Formats: sequence, structure tokens, C-alpha cells
Amino acid sequence: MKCLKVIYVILLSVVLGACGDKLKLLPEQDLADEVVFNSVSTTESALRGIYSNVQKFEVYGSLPQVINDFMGNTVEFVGTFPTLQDLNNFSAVSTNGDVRDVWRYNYEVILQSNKLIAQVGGVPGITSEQINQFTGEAKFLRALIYLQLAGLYSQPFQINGGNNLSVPLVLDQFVGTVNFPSRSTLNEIHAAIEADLKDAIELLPVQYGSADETRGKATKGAAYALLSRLYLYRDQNDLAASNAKSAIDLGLYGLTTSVDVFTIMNSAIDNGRVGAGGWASYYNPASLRGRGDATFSEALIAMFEKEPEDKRFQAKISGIATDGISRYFPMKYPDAINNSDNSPVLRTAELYLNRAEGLAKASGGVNAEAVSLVNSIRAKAGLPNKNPTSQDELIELILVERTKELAFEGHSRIDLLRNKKNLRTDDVRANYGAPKTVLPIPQREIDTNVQLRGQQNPEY
Amino acid sequence: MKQKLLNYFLLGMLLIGVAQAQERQVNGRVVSVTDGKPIGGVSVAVVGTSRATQTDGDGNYSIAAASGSTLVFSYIGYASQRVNVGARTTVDVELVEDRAVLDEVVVVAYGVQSKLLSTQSVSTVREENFKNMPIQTPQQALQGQSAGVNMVNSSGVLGAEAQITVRGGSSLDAGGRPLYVIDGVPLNAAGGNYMQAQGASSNLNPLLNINANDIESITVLKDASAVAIYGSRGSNGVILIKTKSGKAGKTKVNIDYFNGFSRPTANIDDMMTAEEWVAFRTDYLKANNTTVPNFPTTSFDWLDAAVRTGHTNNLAVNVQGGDERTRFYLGGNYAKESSYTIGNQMDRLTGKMSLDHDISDKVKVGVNYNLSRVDMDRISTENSTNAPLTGAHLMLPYITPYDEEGNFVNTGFIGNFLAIDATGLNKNYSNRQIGNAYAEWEILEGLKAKTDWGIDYYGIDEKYRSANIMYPGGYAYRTHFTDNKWVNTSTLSYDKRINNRHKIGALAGYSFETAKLTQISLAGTGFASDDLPNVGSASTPSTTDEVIYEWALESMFARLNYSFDDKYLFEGSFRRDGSSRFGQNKKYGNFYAFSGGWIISKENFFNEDNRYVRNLKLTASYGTAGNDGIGYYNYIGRFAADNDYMGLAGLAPSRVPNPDLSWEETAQFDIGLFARLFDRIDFQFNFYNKNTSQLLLDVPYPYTTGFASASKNVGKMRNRGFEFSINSENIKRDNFSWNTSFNIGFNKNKILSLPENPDEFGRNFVSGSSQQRAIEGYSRNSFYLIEYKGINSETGEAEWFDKDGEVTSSPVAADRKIVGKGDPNFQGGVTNTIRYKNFDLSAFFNFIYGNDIYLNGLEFTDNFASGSYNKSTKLLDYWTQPGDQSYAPALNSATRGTFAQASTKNLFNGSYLRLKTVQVGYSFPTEWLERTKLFTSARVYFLAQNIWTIKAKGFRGDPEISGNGANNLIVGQTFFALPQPKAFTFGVNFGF
Repeated sequence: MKCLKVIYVILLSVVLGACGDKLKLLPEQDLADEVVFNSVSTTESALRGIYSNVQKFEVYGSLPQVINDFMGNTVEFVGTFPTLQDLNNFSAVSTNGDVRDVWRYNYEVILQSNKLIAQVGGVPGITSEQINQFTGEAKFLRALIYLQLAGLYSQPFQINGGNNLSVPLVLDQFVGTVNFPSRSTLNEIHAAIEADLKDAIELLPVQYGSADETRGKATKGAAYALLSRLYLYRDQNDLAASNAKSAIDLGLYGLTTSVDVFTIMNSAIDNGRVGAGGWASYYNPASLRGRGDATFSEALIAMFEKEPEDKRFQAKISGIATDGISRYFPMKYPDAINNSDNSPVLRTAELYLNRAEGLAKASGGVNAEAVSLVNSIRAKAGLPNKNPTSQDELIELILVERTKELAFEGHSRIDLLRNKKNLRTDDVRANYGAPKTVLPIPQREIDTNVQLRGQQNPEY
Repeated sequence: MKQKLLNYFLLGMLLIGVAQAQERQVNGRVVSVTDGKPIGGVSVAVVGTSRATQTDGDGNYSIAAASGSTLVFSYIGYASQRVNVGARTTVDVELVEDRAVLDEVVVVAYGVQSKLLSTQSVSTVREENFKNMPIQTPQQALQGQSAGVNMVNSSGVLGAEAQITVRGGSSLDAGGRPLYVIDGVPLNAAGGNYMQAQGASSNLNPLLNINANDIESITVLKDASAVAIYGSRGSNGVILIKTKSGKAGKTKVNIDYFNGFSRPTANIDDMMTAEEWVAFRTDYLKANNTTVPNFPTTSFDWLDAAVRTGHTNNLAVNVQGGDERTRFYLGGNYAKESSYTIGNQMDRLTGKMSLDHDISDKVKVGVNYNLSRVDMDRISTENSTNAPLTGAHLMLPYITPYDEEGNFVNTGFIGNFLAIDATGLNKNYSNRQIGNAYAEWEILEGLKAKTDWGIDYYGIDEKYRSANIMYPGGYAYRTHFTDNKWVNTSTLSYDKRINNRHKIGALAGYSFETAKLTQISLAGTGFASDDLPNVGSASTPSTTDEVIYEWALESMFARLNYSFDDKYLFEGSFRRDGSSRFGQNKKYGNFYAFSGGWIISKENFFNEDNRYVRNLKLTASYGTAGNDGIGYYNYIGRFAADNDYMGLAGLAPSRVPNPDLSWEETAQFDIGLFARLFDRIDFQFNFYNKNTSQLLLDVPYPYTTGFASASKNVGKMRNRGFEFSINSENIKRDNFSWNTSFNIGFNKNKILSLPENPDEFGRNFVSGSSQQRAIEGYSRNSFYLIEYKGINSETGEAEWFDKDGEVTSSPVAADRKIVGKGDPNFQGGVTNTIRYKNFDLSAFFNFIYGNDIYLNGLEFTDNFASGSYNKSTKLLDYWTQPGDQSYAPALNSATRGTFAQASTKNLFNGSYLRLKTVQVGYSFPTEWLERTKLFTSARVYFLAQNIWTIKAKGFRGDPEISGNGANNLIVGQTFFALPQPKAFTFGVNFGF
């Protein structure tokens, strides 16, 4: 009888405990790897995920762009972050956290693109049209990011004909085996970008169903525009001019009718802002909810003050910057409340400036079309026509207009360096070719990739 | 324990003293079996009735009892005896002395054990050790009281989690928290998952809602024999909290009230005034040929504005009592506390009920229920520039909080914390119910079945609002997080003594536990008015989020004890855990421990009655335990949703799959020696060696894989050390007593192996922060920095050493080396308690030695080049001419921008000795109280905390700090973490 009681108790415990299936719990906010490339809709979501990561603060969410502008000569950085101040002072070290994060998130975009390019062909039910478009978009984004990385982490083409080391080139998807790529040369990176963009030109549509999509997603025009920029960076001026023309000839990008060829679209609920910054956060004073870290540089003010009626100079505000002193801020990113301002990537004006610069540099004398193009940019800013009398004067005019037009959009540093100009007038560390005008390879990457040992940029 | 309860009960019955006439008197005499001498004061009770009496001085008793009824004789130090009266009217009894009963009982996993006969290594802190202490949370009761348990108050922010490390900790990446178990319910303790990010150390303390006044004891399980039965959750140590339960007898009421105030123990840094700053900056800019802007002429003392006097008020009431069958305890507590930093308040209301009822001699049921609400005004924590103290150090001193009209101004990135406090809301409300209900049935003598159902319902709400002045249009967020757990544990236990020499104890159990964490958060901007506090009034909803994490654990466990002659002890324990957190290839883990003990003093060759050494016991144990703090679903490779673009849903890769992902495993060997010396000094010594393998690590991947890391079980770590504690009754007289307790724990942590990731010297490492890493062959908290030399008195340049030991002014990352460690060599505490007549005085010191602390804040306050925040006055001591021995370099030095960079300049010896508490009390004499016919006890006391500290020379701020909560990989770093409060408290305590 007593034994029965014992057995009963033991049975009761076991019955109460029969819950084995309860251990099989799946995450509710994620999808397992296997599921993603099993349908067209989730594949399209994975493609959107690439754009979403391009939105990120460290990619096209302002951090690399603001670094390019304050290391260049358009922005005075007065913020508190030591990692950014070090870059601003050309005294950064390889453990700099921002340098690391920019590398990290830009490569995430590249690897996302690689994965999509590798997987898209095998998705059940996908059409060849969809394969082309998705592949084209991913290749365009990959090219865009490689060009940004190459600009940040390697000396420009002009230093050594593109034979210097740039960033590691990874074009395959990650399938679990860790590879340790070493740095490729700038020419190799540029060749990969060129190949991706030529493919993208073939694969991408001219436009999508809505004007917003045509601005916010990769298009044929965007691929031409980026290719034009690449050639300009490589002093292949003819090709820069012709590709800019190919884009303009698509008929969508009138200087007065279009703002962007390609922009990263942000909204109040979907943007790359993080606690540490963001477009509007850097470029607005505290009174407008910005941090007030990035203001007009003295050099830019001086450039504008030669023609102070310039509409682009009129469009500025004064406000208290981070250092408690009243300074000028641009009005390009007004929404520091919800951070919905778009990230400029390929502006329409850049197409015209690229073509003007390509033509001006490629032809012997004063190229008439280049003069007319630069004057059309000036006219838009409310400035009178200019008639340069020499090729040098024309090029200088185009570069000044480019600086003023594309200020605060991340072009300053690379535009100075590729034209063999010093970044600052008062600091030898900022001279053309000086080692700390480019970022270090992040120490963390060298620590985890043995192939990068001994490949650090000089003086880091 | 039960004996004690019974005695209380019997005593109570005696006072009530109701004799029932219809039954006959039974008389008799109680003597000791050892020497035949009579024993006075023995409780004699009739089972099944409320009748009881006591023997007189000659051992005689008389009690009314029906024939056939059973009498129970019990007396402390003797085994209780049950005797059937039968038809007799005289019952004489010989009581057998029971040494084991003399000994204390310790709480262990799923039960209690005799301290003397236990082979486990545990430390216990009892209510009397922390009674009347104004402690915010129970962990603080452990500080310096328990050998091998390192407790660091991580921050002075109210509600922040204290860091507890048991025997050096057993993990790198997988959470360092011990498992907290309250009355058998393992607590939800997801720390950082309970709030919006407000800074690293803002993790909510998992014990915040537990009222220290309701705790009877806190037991720390340390060695494998103690923790193996907690299986995959035991390796960081287990902390068992037993709350109070009722004792039979006259109903007792206890009221405790205290009131105190606090100030910071230390200034973090002396900052420049506006005048000093402007003069310094002007000289600096001129020296570097840069334009000097027109600096404002205003000034404000931000540090002074951030600090105030904090206040504490605490009222605790408890009532307990009951009869033989039903016992109860009711406790309530209201505490109101304000920190010495503006904006930080906490109100706490807790209630506790415990009810135990014996349905019959064989069946018992009971319930424990804790209910609490904590309402806090939070401040941003340390590494946010909106935190008052952080902002106060960094704010440029010419910036003022008000404009000319006296309106608040928005000061931007370094927040105007006065305006934030005055115009915003930053609330955290938490409601928690922790409870368990049990039924226990004694099936046969010694065989018990028990089932216990527990819950932990934890809800945390945050409500945040920025006013228009701080965030144009206004901003608000609201979170509603819940972490709801239920757990069922069923056990079967058997205790039997055979032939009085063989003692057997067996326990087998099954448990299932599951919890679901739901995080709902909303944020929005754009309000019509600051008078609309709710996020629902926002015009733009910027965040709408719901995230759910669920886990489940299924376990079977068993323990077997055997002792022979109360002299040779053996224990084995086992647990099998299946967890939803483990990968499909490793769903179940087995854990075990064996231990043995030898009570040497019971051997014949040992004269048990010698005056020098008693209760001499040697124990040894070996076994395993795990750590399941590896995340919820981290073995599944996946894409995360919510990576949207242009209003359409997107997916992005978020994790590398690993079907082998599993627990971390710690194998621990422990050897212990316990003795009572000179009948005054309890002495305990333990040596341990803990090897943790399968360390869960985010193995860093090159970013060129598209992933930062993959979670893998790789790596090995060792903690080796010894612990020593004594408890000495130095003087023990009627009117005067002096007790000293002392404990110290030495630990050496060493990383044995890590995944392939070599540094410049070929040693694999894992980074915790930019300054700290775990390095193979060294401590897991090694500081890895450039070594700073000083300012060259000839050139005015700051100088460091490069990796070859050569002096350089431009060091690079490759020049870093191991320069210190964040974990201490030893830590401990010493408490002296003196009683003289009705006065008592106690002083408690704690100490820590051999750890370094990196002050991240100095990278800012010592930053020479920046014009965006305030600087330490130390920088005024800059180099001006050859021969100067200065703190800072020359104004135009090439190292002006790198002087404050991460180097040993910012690293300090973190050792300290602190007079943690001094308490003076006076208890009113019993004769006086008797006259009141109301009070049974009354005491007044005064307590001072953190009043005196010895710390390293040059250390800026408070050394008792760790700015990163329960993070194992970042220890001893602080970014303007709040110093501990220097507090003074007055209190009264009444018993009725």
C-alpha cells in the first residue's frame, strides 16, 4: 500500500513534467537563414535590408560624410567626441572607434550585397526580370560602398597611379568559413567598382513606378553618375564626361527640375540617426535640437563672401555651436526633431559639375560646354555668368562651384586630394599626400585578420 | 530550526497556560543520558493539543494527558523524543545529546543541512548582520561579509545593479551574475533588457524590489558540491535568499524607522572656473597661432548645482505569530530616498506575506508572497552627457543654465541638467510579484514528497518626456516591459538513520521553468504643449516596437548524502538540464558533483573535550556547473526584421548559426577546513581551483565577413584562490562582549586559452573595451595600454614608452602592453562589535587590493586641445620653460592633442580600505520596558557610512566603482560614475 503511494507520487511528477516540446522556441522578431531566399517577397525584403543598412549612421547616415567634410575644408568641427576631434586634428590612432565602425558597417553592406547577388538566381518563382533588377541594385550599392571605403582608407589615385594599397576586396558571399583577405590595390578596387557599375547600367531600369522610388533606388542613371564620379577620381576625364552625359541624356535630370539622381530616403520612423549623431544632429544648433558640432569653416565662409549674394550662402543660420560660440550652420538638413532628411548621394548638380570638370580637364583650352555648364550651376545660385580665360581658371572655377554646391555632402576631402591640394593651409599634417589625410585600417581588423599585419597605412 | 520553532510555540502555549481538567495528570523526570543529571527547562507537550509545560530545575514535570496520547520532550542540544503515555501516569525520560542539533543549520539547494555535517562550501549572512542598515538592496548586505564574494556598488545612481563576483567569476561574455533564488524561485534577472538604454551601468538591479527587512538569511553557494544541483545556471555561484516566515507563539510586532542624509564621498575632479578656462584657452589658442573667439563673460558653477544633500526615510513593520498548526508573517516597508545628485529619487513600497499550515502531522501547505512597487525618478547614467554629474564636469563654465530673462536655455549635447530635471519626466515604475506555494506530504517516516509552484511577475514601465525647451516640439517615450516566469519543482526526499550510525539522505526532483520577456516601446515627437505628458499626444510616432524573448528549462536532479557515525561524510549530486537556449546538437547538459568530509574531532584519537580545537572538519569536493547566459536563440542563424526602407519591410543578416552552441562549463575542486578554536573562534579555510571551459565568446570575425562575431563555446579560464574567515568571540561576559569577524578571499584569474586572435606578442585575446582585454596567460581584465612616462622637463612634450621601452612622443597602438588588471588580488572585510550593558558599537571595514581602475573621464577633462568642454584644473600646471616639472605639456606641444589619450596616465591603483559603517546603538533595559506593559524591546541607533577611506595617491574620485555593471569583460572603468554616498542615519526599533 505504501509502495503504491510512492509510485503514485513519482508518476504525478513525471506527468506534470512532460513538457519536452516547450524547449523548441523560435525567435519572434527574426527569420531563420533558410527561409529568407525561399520566396520572392522575402528576397525583396533582403534587398531592402541592404538599403536599410546604407541608411545607417556609419554608412550614408552622415558619419563618413561629416568626417570627409571636416577633414576637408568646408566644415569646422567643434564637437566633443575625442575620436572625431583626433581625425579633425590629423592625429587619429588606429584604435579610433569611429574609424572601426565605419569600416564595419560599410563591409556589412558589401557582404549583404554579395549574399543577394549569389542567392537571387536560386529563389523559387523569381522572374529573370526580377533577377536582373535585384542584381543590378545590389551591384550598384556594392560599388557605391567600395568607392566610399577606398576614398577613406587609401590615398587617392593621384598619389601613386592607383598602385597603393586600398581595402580588401570581397565579392563572394559569406557561407561560414572565415577568409582572411589582404588589402587590394586601389586599381583593383576601382576595377571591381567599374565592372559592377557597367553591369548595373545593363541591368537596372531607367525609372520605377513612382518618382520617389526613382530617386531612392538604384537606377541606370545613378549607375552612370557613379561611374562618372569614379572616372573623375581616376583622372579619366573623357569617360567622366561621357558617363555624366549618358545620365543627363536619360532625360530625367534637369538641373532646375531634379534634385537627386540617387538619394537615401529617410523618414521620421526610418533613418540612420543614432544617439551620437546624424545629419541634422551635426548641422543644427542646440536650439533646433542639433548637437551643433559641425559648422561652416572659415575657408568656406571666405569662399562664399567673395559673392555673398549666393543663394547657397543666404541659406544658412546662426546658432550656438557645441563650444558655446555663435557660428553658421547650413540649412540642408533642417529636421533635427525627427531626422527625416534624406542622405544626399548623387545630386543632379554633381552630374553637371562632373561633366564640366571632365570636359575642362580633358580639352586643351577653355571648353565652351564646360563654361556653360558651370554658369548654369551659378545661375541656379543667383550668380552672374563668368568667362574664364584659361583652362586653369576654368578648372578652378568649376572646383569652387563644386565646393560650394556640394558642401556638407561629404565631398570636400576627396575633391581636394584628387586635385593634389592640401586639406588645410595651416597644418602640414593635412598636406596632399600626408599620411594622416587617410584613415588608419582599424586596429580591430588587423587584430582579427592576420593577412593585414604589416599592411597598416603609414604612421598609424 | 524546527526544534526552535517548537520551543517558541511551547513557550507561547505555556504563557497562555490553559489546563484542561477532564484528563489525568502525567508526571515524570527528565535526565541526561550522558551523566544522569536532571535537565531543567525541557519542553513537554502533548501531541495534537495545545498543552505544554516545562521541567523545573530538578527535571520534574507534570502535565494533563489522555491515556494513549503522545508526549514530546524537547530541549536545545538534545534529540527530541516522543513517548506514548499508554496507561502510565509516570513517564521518566532520558534525553540523548545531539551534537548535530547544537550546530547551526545552513540553507542549501532544495533544503537545509546541518552546518557541521555539510560538505558544501557556503557563506551565510543572517538578518542580524544587516539589521537596521539603510541598504537599498540585499546585495549590499554581502559586501565584505562573505569570503570570496566580491561586491562592488557599481554606481551611486539609485536602483543601479551592484556587481557581484563569486570566486572570481566564471565567464567572459555570458553574464557574470550569480543565480538569485528567493524561497526556491530563481529570479528573473535580465538586467539590461529591462530598460531603454540610458548608459551602461543603468541596468536595473534584479533585487531592487526585494525588501531587506523581510530577509532571514542570504546564502552564497560557492563550491561545486553546492552549485552542481543548479546545473546549467550554477557556475557563477548561487545566492539563496530565504525570506522570513512566522514562528508559533505570541504575536510579535516589530517597527523600525530610520531617517538619514547623504553627500558624495569624493569630488571626481576639480574643474576650471570660467575665468580660468577662458584664460587657459586664450593662451592655448595664441600659442598655436589660432584666432581667439570672443568668449562670453558669464560663468556658472555646474558642479555645485548638480549636488545636493540626499535624504532617506524608511519605515518597516512586521507582524508574526501563529499556533502549532498555522504560522504567519506579515511584513511591510515604505522607503523614500533621494540621492545627492539632483533628479534622482526612489519610493518603494513592499509587502510580504508568509503562511504555513499543517493540515495534519503528515501534510503541510504554505505560501510565500512578495509584492512591491518601486517608483523612481531616474537620471541619465554616467556615460550620457545628460547625466547631472557628467554634465557638470564637462559643461563649459561660461555657459549658464538660464538666459538674461531667467528662462532655461538648451545647452545642447552636454545637457542642461537643471532644465532637464525641472521640465522633463524620467520615471521608472516597477511592479513585482514573487511568490511560491507548496504542499508537502510525509508519505512514510522520513519519506517526503513536495511540490512547489513559483512565480516571478516583473513589470517595468518607463515614462520619459522632454519639454519643448530641450527638444523642440517635445519628445516622449514609454516602455512597458514584462518578464513573467513560472516554475514548478517537485521533489521526493528520504531521510533515515539506520542503527544510529548510518545516516542517509536522498533527494530526487523534477522542475520545469519558463519565462517570457515582452518589450513594448513607443516614442514620439511633436506636442501641442508641455502640459501633455503622454506619448499618445505626439504628432509623429517615431518608434512602435514589440519584441518578445521566451525561454524554457526542463531539469531533473538528485542528491544523495550518506554519513557514517556522523564522522565520515559523503554527498553526490546530479542535474540534467534541457534548455531552449542550447543549440539542437546540445539540447541537454549533465552536471554533477561529489564531495566528502571527515570530522576529525570525532575520532577516538582526538580528545573531543579538549579546550583548544573542536568540530574539526576537513572537506573536499569536485564537480561541474554551467552558465546558460548565452542569449535566447543565439544558435539560430537568422535575418532580423525591422530593417525597412521606404516604408516597406526589410530583412538584414543578424547572426551566424551555431547548432553546437551550449552552456559554459565550470569544473571546480574545493578543499576546506573548519574548526572551533578555544571555544571562541570559528575558523574556516577553503582552497579552490575552478576551470571554466567552453567559454561562450563572441569570437571576433574580420568585418570583411559581414559579421562582427559568432557566438561559440571556445576558450578556457581558471580561477584559483583561497578564502579564510574567522568569527571570534574575543570577550564574552554578561555586561561586556566583543566580537570580531574577519574574512578575506584571494583569487587569481588566468585565461588559459582563447580562439585564434593574436596580439602583437602572439597571445590570443578578446577585447572588453578599448582599454581592457582578456589575454591568454593573463587576467581576463588586463589593462592593455601605452605606458605613459610624463612631461619632458626640457622640451615640454608628453612622453610615452614604445614597445621596446624607448621614449617616444608619438606612440602607436602597437606600443600597448599589459599594464595592470581590473580584478583584485584579494578583498574582504572586518567587523568589530562591542556590547557594553545596553550599548552596542560596531565598525565594519572593507578592503580590496591589487586592482587597477581606468578613469575614462580623464580623456575628456585632461584633454588639452578641445574647446568644447571643461577641463581639470590640473591642466593649469602646463610646461612653460625648460626645467619645469609640469603635469601637462607645453601649450603648443606636438603632443597637445594626444596627451589625454588612453595610456597609463589615466590608470590608477584601485586598492582601498574603507570604513564602510559605524553603528552605535542603545537598547532600553528590559525592566523599564516591562513597566510600559507594551514594549518588549526598544533600541535607538545611529549609523554612519563610507566616512573614511584610504585610496591610492592621485586617484581622482571614488575607488569603489565599476561603471559597467555585470559586464565581466569591463571591470574597473568609470566615466564620471557617481561616488558612493557618505551617509548618516538615525533610527529607532520597537518590539511589541
